[in-house]
Amino acid sequence: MRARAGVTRSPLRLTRTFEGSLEQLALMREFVVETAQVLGGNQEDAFACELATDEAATNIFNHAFETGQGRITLTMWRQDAQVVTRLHYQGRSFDPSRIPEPSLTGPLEERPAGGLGLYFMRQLMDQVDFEFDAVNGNVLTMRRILNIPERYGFMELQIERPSGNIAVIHVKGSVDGSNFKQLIEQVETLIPQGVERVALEISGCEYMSSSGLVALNAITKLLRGERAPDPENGWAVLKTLDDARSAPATAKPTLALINPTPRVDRVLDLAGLKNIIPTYSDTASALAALG
Amino acid sequence: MELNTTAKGDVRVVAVNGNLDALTAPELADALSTQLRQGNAKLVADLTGLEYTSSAGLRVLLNAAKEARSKGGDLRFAGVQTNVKKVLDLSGFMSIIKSFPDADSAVASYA
Repeated sequence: MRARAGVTRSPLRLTRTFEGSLEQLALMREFVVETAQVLGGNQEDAFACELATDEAATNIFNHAFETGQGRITLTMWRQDAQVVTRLHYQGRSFDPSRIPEPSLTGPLEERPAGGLGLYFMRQLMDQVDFEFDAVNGNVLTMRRILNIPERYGFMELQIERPSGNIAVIHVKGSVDGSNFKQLIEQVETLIPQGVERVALEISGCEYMSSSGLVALNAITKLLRGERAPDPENGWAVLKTLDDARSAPATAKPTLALINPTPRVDRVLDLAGLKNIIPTYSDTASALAALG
Repeated sequence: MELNTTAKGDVRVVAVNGNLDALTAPELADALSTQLRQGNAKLVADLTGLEYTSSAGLRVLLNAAKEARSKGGDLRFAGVQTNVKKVLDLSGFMSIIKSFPDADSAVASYA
């Protein structure tokens, strides 16, 4: 099983439905900021998705829904190096080509008060597409190329065996859709060698996408003696992440993380994995906890 | 969002805290137009505690600035934070509205 080079298959697709009116905007922003970061965006990416979604939803509540009330289903996923944000709703259509570009130069008196929303969406996103369908609903799809590190796809693993049943794996570089299976496979090869507990030393891991989170979840399951979920099966993997979140913490951890960078730590936190995978600031304390 | 208006001589400082979006912007519009209606046209929007704004918030600030200038006054920004600055830069507002590091220096600029 080898990941196709250069193609990211993110198994995570997160959906939430918001029903009501403008008071939903704050909740939508919160969902988008968290999801964008779990999908591998940095804070700038998350802010771009937040503002573009706010502008899009504001226009929908104010113009597409006759009463200002309605339902918007928000879905986000990862496609290659892009994060995709999709808004699905039933409502009035409009012709985006007829919305004039606002004039952003000239004196205050000549500045238009409106028209900024669509302009912001196009500035913040790399692609904005509208599809209007009176029967199946309208779809607004916004794509943004993420600020991902130059070493995307480069991962280096180094194994250390401090004792018979424990392995420390030093992970350097980027754990993402192109290589997350290699990390799972590494643990799969260690288990027949008697390894029961694993510490991932990730201080040199600059980047972890949602695929990296799926790898952590799969490793947790493998070390518990369970089968790893099929990483190609998006919905099932998401479900297992949910299972892992709700599972009670076992007395003795089988997987520990050592010294994540702030960026990776934030992704782990937002995904809820910090509650189920203990994190230590140094190798000695991780080994003490595992041993 | 939370608003707090204070008088500094003939300048009115409206401190905007929290998040400004299409839901909360009308409240700011009310606060600013109340001042303008009372003849207070020298306005400072203290944005030190403003974490986020969408274009709905900018629209309110732009309209208030236009009206203040038509009455011989102005609307000036104070304490703009990172995410708000990004939105102001995107909109090109920074070139038409004066911005100061804090409320005191914005108030002093009217002297």
